[in-house]
Amino acid sequence: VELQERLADYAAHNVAVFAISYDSIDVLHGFTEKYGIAFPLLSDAGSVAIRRLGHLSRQFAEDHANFGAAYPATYILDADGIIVEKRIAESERERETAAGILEARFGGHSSAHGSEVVIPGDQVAIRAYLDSPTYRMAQRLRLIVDVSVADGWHVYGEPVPDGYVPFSVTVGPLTGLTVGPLVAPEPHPFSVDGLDEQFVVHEGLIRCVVPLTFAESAGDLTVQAQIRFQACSTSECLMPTTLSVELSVRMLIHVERQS
Amino acid sequence: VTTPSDDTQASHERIGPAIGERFPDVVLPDQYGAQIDVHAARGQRPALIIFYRSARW
Repeated sequence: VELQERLADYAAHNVAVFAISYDSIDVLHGFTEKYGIAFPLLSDAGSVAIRRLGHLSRQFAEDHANFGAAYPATYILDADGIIVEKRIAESERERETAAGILEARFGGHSSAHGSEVVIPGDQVAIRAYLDSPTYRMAQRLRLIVDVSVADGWHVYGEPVPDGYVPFSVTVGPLTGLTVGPLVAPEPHPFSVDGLDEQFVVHEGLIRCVVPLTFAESAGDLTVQAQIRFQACSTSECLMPTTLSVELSVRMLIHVERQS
Repeated sequence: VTTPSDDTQASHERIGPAIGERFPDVVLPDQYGAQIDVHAARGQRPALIIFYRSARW
Protein backbone atom coordinates (compact mmCIF):
# COMPACT_ATOMS: atom_id res chain seq x y z
CA VAL A 1 0.00 0.00 0.00
CA GLU A 2 2.84 2.32 0.81
CA LEU A 3 4.27 1.38 -2.55
CA GLN A 4 1.00 2.12 -4.27
CA GLU A 5 1.12 5.63 -2.89
CA ARG A 6 4.51 6.08 -4.49
CA LEU A 7 3.54 4.71 -7.84
CA ALA A 8 3.16 8.10 -9.46
CA ASP A 9 6.78 8.70 -8.52
CA TYR A 10 7.86 5.51 -10.22
CA ALA A 11 5.83 6.29 -13.30
CA ALA A 12 7.40 9.73 -13.41
CA HIS A 13 10.78 8.05 -13.33
CA ASN A 14 9.67 5.55 -15.96
CA VAL A 15 10.32 2.59 -13.68
CA ALA A 16 8.30 -0.60 -14.07
CA VAL A 17 7.16 -2.17 -10.80
CA PHE A 18 6.41 -5.83 -10.11
CA ALA A 19 5.65 -7.49 -6.80
CA ILE A 20 5.95 -11.24 -6.35
CA SER A 21 4.43 -13.37 -3.60
CA TYR A 22 3.13 -16.90 -3.18
CA ASP A 23 -0.45 -15.68 -2.86
CA SER A 24 -3.15 -17.00 -5.18
CA ILE A 25 -4.56 -14.89 -7.98
CA ASP A 26 -7.79 -14.59 -6.00
CA VAL A 27 -6.03 -13.23 -2.95
CA LEU A 28 -4.09 -10.73 -5.06
CA HIS A 29 -7.22 -9.71 -6.92
CA GLY A 30 -9.01 -9.05 -3.64
CA PHE A 31 -6.04 -7.09 -2.33
CA THR A 32 -5.98 -5.02 -5.53
CA GLU A 33 -9.67 -4.21 -5.27
CA LYS A 34 -9.34 -3.25 -1.64
CA TYR A 35 -6.32 -1.00 -1.99
CA GLY A 36 -6.51 0.15 -5.60
CA ILE A 37 -3.21 -1.41 -6.61
CA ALA A 38 -2.19 -0.26 -10.08
CA PHE A 39 0.86 -2.40 -10.79
CA PRO A 40 1.26 -6.14 -11.40
CA LEU A 41 1.06 -8.36 -8.36
CA LEU A 42 2.45 -11.63 -9.63
CA SER A 43 1.11 -14.84 -8.20
CA ASP A 44 3.60 -17.63 -7.59
CA ALA A 45 1.15 -20.01 -5.96
CA GLY A 46 3.19 -23.17 -5.42
CA SER A 47 6.33 -21.06 -5.01
CA VAL A 48 7.97 -22.49 -8.14
CA ALA A 49 9.66 -19.27 -9.23
CA ILE A 50 10.41 -18.34 -5.62
CA ARG A 51 12.30 -21.62 -5.22
CA ARG A 52 14.02 -21.39 -8.59
CA LEU A 53 15.33 -17.93 -7.72
CA GLY A 54 16.56 -19.10 -4.32
CA HIS A 55 14.02 -16.95 -2.56
CA LEU A 56 12.14 -19.43 -0.42
CA SER A 57 11.95 -18.32 3.18
CA ARG A 58 13.41 -20.86 5.56
CA GLN A 59 11.51 -19.37 8.43
CA PHE A 60 8.62 -21.80 8.06
CA ALA A 61 8.69 -25.57 8.16
CA GLU A 62 7.02 -27.46 5.33
CA ASP A 63 3.97 -28.25 7.42
CA HIS A 64 3.56 -24.62 8.48
CA ALA A 65 0.67 -22.66 6.96
CA ASN A 66 3.06 -19.95 5.79
CA PHE A 67 5.49 -22.34 4.09
CA GLY A 68 6.23 -21.19 0.55
CA ALA A 69 6.48 -17.48 1.35
CA ALA A 70 9.32 -15.56 -0.24
CA TYR A 71 12.16 -14.04 1.72
CA PRO A 72 11.47 -10.29 1.39
CA ALA A 73 13.80 -8.43 -0.93
CA THR A 74 13.83 -5.70 -3.51
CA TYR A 75 15.78 -5.63 -6.75
CA ILE A 76 16.50 -2.72 -9.02
CA LEU A 77 17.09 -3.63 -12.64
CA ASP A 78 18.63 -1.33 -15.19
CA ALA A 79 17.21 -0.90 -18.70
CA ASP A 80 19.04 -4.09 -19.79
CA GLY A 81 17.55 -6.15 -16.98
CA ILE A 82 20.80 -6.33 -15.04
CA ILE A 83 20.48 -6.24 -11.25
CA VAL A 84 22.11 -3.02 -10.14
CA GLU A 85 20.85 -3.01 -6.59
CA LYS A 86 19.57 -5.65 -4.23
CA ARG A 87 18.11 -5.11 -0.82
CA ILE A 88 17.45 -8.03 1.44
CA ALA A 89 15.43 -7.31 4.55
CA GLU A 90 17.60 -7.52 7.65
CA SER A 91 14.98 -9.67 9.26
CA GLU A 92 11.99 -11.33 7.72
CA ARG A 93 9.75 -9.14 9.80
CA GLU A 94 11.16 -5.98 8.35
CA ARG A 95 9.31 -4.47 5.45
CA GLU A 96 11.62 -2.54 3.23
CA THR A 97 10.21 0.87 2.49
CA ALA A 98 9.86 1.23 -1.22
CA ALA A 99 10.03 4.98 -0.82
CA GLY A 100 13.50 4.73 0.65
CA ILE A 101 14.69 2.64 -2.27
CA LEU A 102 13.16 4.92 -4.82
CA GLU A 103 14.59 7.95 -3.17
CA ALA A 104 18.02 6.45 -2.88
CA ARG A 105 18.14 5.22 -6.43
CA PHE A 106 16.06 7.54 -8.51
CA GLY A 107 15.71 10.65 -6.40
CA GLY A 108 11.99 10.32 -5.94
CA HIS A 109 9.98 13.19 -4.62
CA SER A 110 7.65 13.46 -1.71
CA SER A 111 5.40 16.43 -1.26
CA ALA A 112 5.49 16.22 2.53
CA HIS A 113 8.94 17.64 3.07
CA GLY A 114 10.53 20.95 2.24
CA SER A 115 12.96 22.30 -0.31
CA GLU A 116 14.96 19.62 -2.08
CA VAL A 117 18.00 19.43 -4.32
CA VAL A 118 19.08 16.36 -6.29
CA ILE A 119 22.56 16.16 -7.78
CA PRO A 120 22.95 13.10 -9.99
CA GLY A 121 26.34 11.53 -10.46
CA ASP A 122 27.88 8.34 -11.83
CA GLN A 123 29.83 7.53 -8.66
CA VAL A 124 28.12 9.66 -6.03
CA ALA A 125 24.59 11.01 -6.21
CA ILE A 126 23.24 13.45 -3.66
CA ARG A 127 19.74 14.22 -2.52
CA ALA A 128 19.36 16.90 0.14
CA TYR A 129 16.15 18.18 1.61
CA LEU A 130 14.67 19.89 4.62
CA ASP A 131 12.03 17.96 6.50
CA SER A 132 9.68 20.94 6.54
CA PRO A 133 8.96 23.72 4.06
CA THR A 134 8.53 26.23 6.89
CA TYR A 135 9.96 27.13 10.27
CA ARG A 136 8.86 29.00 13.34
CA MET A 137 11.09 30.71 15.85
CA ALA A 138 12.85 28.15 18.08
CA GLN A 139 11.68 25.29 15.91
CA ARG A 140 13.98 22.44 15.05
CA LEU A 141 14.13 21.22 11.47
CA ARG A 142 16.25 18.51 10.02
CA LEU A 143 18.45 18.68 6.98
CA ILE A 144 18.65 15.24 5.40
CA VAL A 145 21.45 14.49 2.97
CA ASP A 146 21.23 11.13 1.25
CA VAL A 147 24.48 10.25 -0.44
CA SER A 148 24.26 7.28 -2.77
CA VAL A 149 27.65 5.76 -3.59
CA ALA A 150 27.71 3.48 -6.63
CA ASP A 151 28.61 -0.19 -6.24
CA GLY A 152 32.36 -0.72 -6.22
CA TRP A 153 33.02 2.82 -5.02
CA HIS A 154 33.53 4.32 -1.57
CA VAL A 155 34.13 7.63 0.12
CA TYR A 156 36.44 8.07 3.09
CA GLY A 157 35.52 8.45 6.72
CA GLU A 158 37.75 9.95 9.37
CA PRO A 159 40.55 9.54 10.18
CA VAL A 160 42.01 9.61 6.67
CA PRO A 161 45.61 8.98 5.64
CA ASP A 162 47.52 11.99 4.30
CA GLY A 163 46.43 13.03 0.88
CA TYR A 164 42.84 11.82 1.09
CA VAL A 165 39.75 13.88 1.77
CA PRO A 166 37.13 12.61 4.23
CA PHE A 167 33.42 12.75 3.58
CA SER A 168 31.81 15.71 5.32
CA VAL A 169 28.62 17.70 5.41
CA THR A 170 28.82 21.28 6.63
CA VAL A 171 26.08 23.86 6.92
CA GLY A 172 26.92 27.47 6.16
CA PRO A 173 26.55 30.00 8.98
CA LEU A 174 23.31 31.90 9.09
CA THR A 175 22.15 34.49 11.60
CA GLY A 176 20.05 32.84 14.27
CA LEU A 177 20.70 29.34 12.98
CA THR A 178 22.13 26.77 15.36
CA VAL A 179 23.52 23.72 13.62
CA GLY A 180 23.40 20.53 15.67
CA PRO A 181 25.79 17.61 15.44
CA LEU A 182 25.73 15.60 12.24
CA VAL A 183 24.29 12.11 12.59
CA ALA A 184 25.72 9.75 10.00
CA PRO A 185 26.51 6.04 9.76
CA GLU A 186 29.82 4.86 11.18
CA PRO A 187 32.38 4.23 8.45
CA HIS A 188 33.82 0.72 8.33
CA PRO A 189 37.41 -0.47 7.94
CA PHE A 190 38.65 -1.04 4.42
CA SER A 191 41.97 -2.04 2.95
CA VAL A 192 43.29 -2.25 -0.57
CA ASP A 193 45.62 -5.05 -1.61
CA GLY A 194 49.13 -3.76 -2.03
CA LEU A 195 48.61 -0.61 0.02
CA ASP A 196 49.73 -0.33 3.62
CA GLU A 197 47.32 2.43 4.45
CA GLN A 198 44.30 1.66 6.59
CA PHE A 199 41.07 3.35 5.66
CA VAL A 200 37.61 3.67 7.01
CA VAL A 201 35.01 4.17 4.32
CA HIS A 202 31.35 4.61 3.57
CA GLU A 203 29.68 2.58 0.84
CA GLY A 204 26.15 2.32 -0.49
CA LEU A 205 23.63 4.76 0.91
CA ILE A 206 24.84 7.27 3.50
CA ARG A 207 22.00 9.06 5.23
CA CYS A 208 23.17 12.16 7.10
CA VAL A 209 20.87 14.13 9.35
CA VAL A 210 21.73 17.60 10.63
CA PRO A 211 19.44 19.25 13.20
CA LEU A 212 18.85 22.91 12.51
CA THR A 213 17.33 25.23 15.08
CA PHE A 214 16.15 28.68 14.11
CA ALA A 215 16.50 30.84 17.20
CA GLU A 216 15.21 34.00 15.61
CA SER A 217 12.45 34.87 13.26
CA ALA A 218 14.77 35.86 10.47
CA GLY A 219 12.34 35.80 7.60
CA ASP A 220 12.52 33.45 4.67
CA LEU A 221 15.95 31.86 4.56
CA THR A 222 18.23 29.88 2.32
CA VAL A 223 20.19 27.17 4.07
CA GLN A 224 23.40 26.34 2.34
CA ALA A 225 25.22 23.07 2.84
CA GLN A 226 28.40 21.69 1.38
CA ILE A 227 29.06 18.02 0.84
CA ARG A 228 32.70 17.19 0.40
CA PHE A 229 34.07 13.79 -0.51
CA GLN A 230 36.58 11.88 -2.53
CA ALA A 231 35.23 8.88 -4.38
CA CYS A 232 37.51 5.93 -5.04
CA SER A 233 37.22 2.37 -6.27
CA THR A 234 39.91 -0.23 -5.67
CA SER A 235 41.57 0.81 -8.91
CA GLU A 236 41.03 4.55 -9.25
CA CYS A 237 40.49 7.66 -7.21
CA LEU A 238 38.65 10.72 -8.41
CA MET A 239 39.62 14.25 -7.43
CA PRO A 240 38.05 15.52 -4.21
CA THR A 241 34.73 17.18 -4.89
CA THR A 242 32.65 19.74 -3.07
CA LEU A 243 28.98 19.97 -3.94
CA SER A 244 26.86 22.83 -2.68
CA VAL A 245 23.15 22.74 -2.14
CA GLU A 246 20.84 25.62 -1.32
CA LEU A 247 17.52 24.91 0.33
CA SER A 248 14.93 27.54 1.01
CA VAL A 249 12.68 27.61 4.03
CA ARG A 250 9.81 29.99 4.70
CA MET A 251 9.20 31.58 8.05
CA LEU A 252 5.85 31.27 9.73
CA ILE A 253 4.94 33.95 12.22
CA HIS A 254 4.93 32.60 15.71
CA VAL A 255 1.28 33.13 16.44
CA GLU A 256 -0.94 32.62 13.48
CA ARG A 257 -3.65 35.22 13.31
CA GLN A 258 -7.12 34.64 12.05
CA SER A 259 -7.80 36.89 9.11
CA VAL B 1 17.69 -20.66 16.08
CA THR B 2 20.12 -18.03 14.88
CA THR B 3 20.25 -14.40 15.78
CA PRO B 4 19.90 -11.83 13.01
CA SER B 5 23.51 -10.74 13.44
CA ASP B 6 24.81 -14.28 12.90
CA ASP B 7 22.49 -14.96 10.09
CA THR B 8 22.27 -11.73 8.22
CA GLN B 9 25.44 -11.43 6.22
CA ALA B 10 25.95 -15.04 5.27
CA SER B 11 22.35 -15.72 4.39
CA HIS B 12 21.99 -12.54 2.37
CA GLU B 13 24.70 -13.78 0.06
CA ARG B 14 22.67 -16.89 -0.62
CA ILE B 15 19.25 -15.38 -1.14
CA GLY B 16 18.22 -14.70 -4.70
CA PRO B 17 20.16 -13.66 -7.79
CA ALA B 18 23.23 -11.46 -7.36
CA ILE B 19 24.00 -7.88 -8.30
CA GLY B 20 25.52 -7.78 -11.77
CA GLU B 21 23.51 -10.73 -13.05
CA ARG B 22 20.61 -10.41 -15.43
CA PHE B 23 17.44 -10.91 -13.46
CA PRO B 24 16.17 -14.42 -14.31
CA ASP B 25 13.25 -14.79 -16.68
CA VAL B 26 10.05 -14.92 -14.70
CA VAL B 27 6.60 -15.50 -16.19
CA LEU B 28 3.74 -15.50 -13.68
CA PRO B 29 0.07 -14.62 -13.69
CA ASP B 30 -0.89 -11.22 -12.32
CA GLN B 31 -3.89 -10.43 -10.15
CA TYR B 32 -6.17 -10.59 -13.20
CA GLY B 33 -4.84 -13.93 -14.39
CA ALA B 34 -2.85 -12.51 -17.32
CA GLN B 35 0.53 -14.15 -17.87
CA ILE B 36 3.22 -11.52 -17.30
CA ASP B 37 6.75 -11.96 -18.59
CA VAL B 38 8.68 -9.53 -16.40
CA HIS B 39 11.36 -8.63 -18.93
CA ALA B 40 8.90 -8.31 -21.81
CA ALA B 41 6.51 -6.23 -19.71
CA ARG B 42 9.15 -3.76 -18.59
CA GLY B 43 10.38 -3.27 -22.17
CA GLN B 44 13.41 -1.01 -22.04
CA ARG B 45 12.48 0.48 -18.69
CA PRO B 46 14.41 -0.04 -15.49
CA ALA B 47 12.39 -2.00 -12.97
CA LEU B 48 11.76 -2.46 -9.30
CA ILE B 49 11.00 -6.06 -8.38
CA ILE B 50 9.74 -6.71 -4.89
CA PHE B 51 9.51 -10.05 -3.18
CA TYR B 52 7.20 -9.87 -0.22
CA ARG B 53 5.80 -12.41 2.12
CA SER B 54 2.08 -12.21 1.52
CA ALA B 55 -0.83 -9.92 0.84
CA ARG B 56 -2.76 -11.90 3.45
CA TRP B 57 -0.51 -11.74 6.53
